[in-house]
Amino acid sequence: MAKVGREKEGTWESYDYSLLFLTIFLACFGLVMIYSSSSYIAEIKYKDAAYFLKRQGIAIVLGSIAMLVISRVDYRVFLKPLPWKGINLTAVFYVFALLLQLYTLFFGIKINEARRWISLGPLGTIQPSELTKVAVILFVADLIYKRAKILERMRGFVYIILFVSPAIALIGKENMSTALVIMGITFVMCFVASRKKAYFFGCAGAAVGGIIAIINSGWRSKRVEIWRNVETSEKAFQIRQGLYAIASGGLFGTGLGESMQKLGFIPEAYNDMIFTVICEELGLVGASAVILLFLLLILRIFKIAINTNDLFGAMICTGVMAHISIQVIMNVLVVTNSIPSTGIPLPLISYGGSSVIFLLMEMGIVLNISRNVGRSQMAALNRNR
Amino acid sequence: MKRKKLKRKPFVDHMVRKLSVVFIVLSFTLLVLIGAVYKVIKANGDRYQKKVLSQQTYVSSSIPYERGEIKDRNGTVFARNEAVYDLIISPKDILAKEGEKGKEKQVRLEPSLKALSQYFDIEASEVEEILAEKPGSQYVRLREDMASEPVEAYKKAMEEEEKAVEARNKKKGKEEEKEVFVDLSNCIYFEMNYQRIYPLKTVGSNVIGFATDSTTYGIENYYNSELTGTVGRNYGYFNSEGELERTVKPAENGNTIITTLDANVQQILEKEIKKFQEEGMGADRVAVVLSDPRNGEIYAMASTNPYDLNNPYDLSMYYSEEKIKKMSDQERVNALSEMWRNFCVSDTYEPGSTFKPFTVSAVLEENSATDKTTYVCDGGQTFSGWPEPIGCTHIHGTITMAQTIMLSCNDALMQMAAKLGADSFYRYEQIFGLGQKTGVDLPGEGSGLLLSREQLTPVDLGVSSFGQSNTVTMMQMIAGFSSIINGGNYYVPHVMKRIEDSSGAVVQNYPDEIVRKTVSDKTSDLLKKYLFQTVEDDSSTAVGARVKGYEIGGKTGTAEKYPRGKGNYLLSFLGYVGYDEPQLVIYVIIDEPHVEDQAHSGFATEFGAKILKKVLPFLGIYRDTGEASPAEDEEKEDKTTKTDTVSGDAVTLNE
Repeated sequence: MAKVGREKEGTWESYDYSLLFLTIFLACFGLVMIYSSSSYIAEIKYKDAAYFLKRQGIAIVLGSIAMLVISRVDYRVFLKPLPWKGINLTAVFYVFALLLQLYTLFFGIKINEARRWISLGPLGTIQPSELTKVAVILFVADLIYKRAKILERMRGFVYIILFVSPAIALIGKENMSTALVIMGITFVMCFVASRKKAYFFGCAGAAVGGIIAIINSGWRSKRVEIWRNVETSEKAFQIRQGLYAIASGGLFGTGLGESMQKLGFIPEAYNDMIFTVICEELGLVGASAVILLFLLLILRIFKIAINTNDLFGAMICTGVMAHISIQVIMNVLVVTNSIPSTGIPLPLISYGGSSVIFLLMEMGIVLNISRNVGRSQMAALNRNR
Repeated sequence: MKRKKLKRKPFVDHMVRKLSVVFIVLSFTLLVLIGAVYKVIKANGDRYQKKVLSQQTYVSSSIPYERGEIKDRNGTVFARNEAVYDLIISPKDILAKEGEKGKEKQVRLEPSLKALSQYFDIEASEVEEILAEKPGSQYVRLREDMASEPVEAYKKAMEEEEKAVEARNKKKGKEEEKEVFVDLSNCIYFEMNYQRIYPLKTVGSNVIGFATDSTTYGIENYYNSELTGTVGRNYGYFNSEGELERTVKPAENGNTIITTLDANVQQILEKEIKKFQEEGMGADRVAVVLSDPRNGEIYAMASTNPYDLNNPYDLSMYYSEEKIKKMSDQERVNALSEMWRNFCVSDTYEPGSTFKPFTVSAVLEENSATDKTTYVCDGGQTFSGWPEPIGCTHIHGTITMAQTIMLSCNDALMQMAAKLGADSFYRYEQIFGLGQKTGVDLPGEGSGLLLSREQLTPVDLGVSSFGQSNTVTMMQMIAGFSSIINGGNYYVPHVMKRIEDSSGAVVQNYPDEIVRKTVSDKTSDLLKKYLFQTVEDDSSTAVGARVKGYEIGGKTGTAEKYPRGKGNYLLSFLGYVGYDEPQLVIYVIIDEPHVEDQAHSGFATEFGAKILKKVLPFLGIYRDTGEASPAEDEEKEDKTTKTDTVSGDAVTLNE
């Protein structure tokens, strides 16, 4: 019923199938690489070579279903005000994410000395910070949508920072790198929305200075030590093994499934270090292809953003684009030892159910925005009535 | 107000411009990443590649599994394993210097040399030679297959030394210099392995077989896949803290084979055969099999070629040292395989008159004749186309069906077979499993050679009826004979009773299934009676097999060997113990006894009785009637020697 109507409106014509295909392709490529890099360890630890493959496969199927459903629901539903005055779904969503983060801080599960997970009983565990990223993107997009003008003054920027800071604080305690990603996303979104430039260059400078200060203080300076002495430091073993893997891959790699470094040398090779296994097995050529695929992915999102003619949708696209590219950049810089080590998964490819499910949901929203591309404001208003 | 909020606001131009800037910056950064990867490859490619290769052996090592044991039916061990150690030294670590700059010393050299001589009797000069030769090596195998005692003593001493040093350090004051424990674990270390041990040495050697890295024989061969375990692995991997974490995938030990053999009985059997060969008349070959007719379990099988399973390549039991030295490689291989061979399973021969119960069973089963039928033996049978008649040992005159077996009359058997016809005769050969492998669970089983249906001319049918011309194996005769006396149930002869895993849980029992029915209860009862009379009746051929207090039935055989007419015979006795329910089948073969006149099956029956007398109590088969004193036994033995001449069934064949 509705479908026929929608087709009449021409919304499916602009649906970005390339983006859908790219997203699913990257997730499936991730599955292949996860199986390749984890089967050996999975066999030893769980007596099942496909242990990680199966778990990630289920996450991708669930995430894909969520993505397809979300891409059919008008994203502007987030803007609909709820019975309470001035409160809409983005705010509810954001508050919910904050409460989850708070819960995690006190009752979360500790893995590898970090309390970042919530147990869902038999369903496994989730990492709420992945949900928080989506919530922040939607919430900031909403703030900008409602008050685009305020960003023309310093006050507006501070106003947004104030709203986002609880999320950064709550995550930053246990997961510095995700907090950095959220800061980056917020920064990019504000930068795009504002007419001013000077503030942002100032802010960027201050942020870089702050990061350096944090890095040089306390236990985190250890990471700098490791970063500088990667060849000799005992603690640099993971990064060093990753570098061995990248280097031994050469131009064309050792062939899919032929990595030697995944055989117990790179710890959790299927996780944050998966890019090193891609380099070892598929070489520089394969690694470049993966990076170019991500480039293509953000190009599609960029195109949707500039064609959407809706500030809220465009800001969401900006946030998602920032999210994906910041994570790719940080991940690759870490594994190539270009910056001090920090744990950031490669989006859509690294093992991690929460990460891939919420990313696919984000892509669902972007796909939905693509359906509204090129439509006039009037048509939108008509439809909303 | 609400409606207003849902109004779209445009994504204005200045935002599009700034988003474009962001996109370009991000794209550029992504392309820079390719450069970052390229930099790693270019800067360190070759060096890191080598590191990857050099790490491989360091992190995983294999853990040997323990091969399954082989035991007899009562738990006596035929084959087990013993941990042995290879002693490895690392010259590089032994020679390494330590200490502050300028004051470096070789702290581990002295203690290493001392430990090697103290615990392993290795001269310092020998070690020093190696140290001089390969100072950079980290792996030199100094000793192989050492017993575990010195290794454990050494390890314990090292541990105690470490504790002692610690204790002494605790007592010392802060100012005093602390003692340093010299850790030799990188200098001297061990690789454990298992060595196969056969505690009973020669007992059951031809059945049990042996297992080396390259060769397996006997049960060790047949059940190799069960006995073999899975090699374990020791993995090391680095956790996120960069520390080495060890994961052990333990070795899975092989399964234990519980055999149907009885080590005591086997031992007695081998002793008796040895005695017969050394003190008795001796023969080219003696072979005996004892089995349970109720299920096909083999208690013991032995022949005249045992060997020490712990030294399977040692031929000195059969050849002088000079002869061994002179042997060519091929001769040596042949001599070894001859020694390892299990005659009872692999070799084929013409059975002779022990075959007669098979023919008579077929005849009774087919109603071609009955218990009441009588035959006239005139000393032989003439066949058209054959110049001379096929002879019988005696002229028996008119005899009953029972007497054909009791007196072992060839003439009567030839008449029976002729009446039965070649078709039925051939069919029963198949039913009794002759000329086919029985499927015994031992390697290298022979199948023998049957004349085909087409080849069964009247004269061949005639001689086949009393066990000449066809060749069989001991296994076939045992399995067929067991079915004749147990009511017609054909069981596959076997040596495996059950398989247990290394913790003792049963993995598999031998399926004691009846493969097929050979004869009816009625026929079985008749044959059992005839065979009993063959031993019990004083006029019969197998009286030598009597053992006081036991009900024994059986049939003798005196097969003339090829080439005929040379006076070479294969003597045999195939019998059972227990009339109501036969509990044991014995099959004795004496091939070419070392005497002038070989054609006396009494040698085999007597030898069989001797074995039975010794073995029966061990098998839990006790006397049915009265208690016989040893004196009575002696008396009986005297009597049986007299009957030697009564037995014997010579066959004359013209070629």
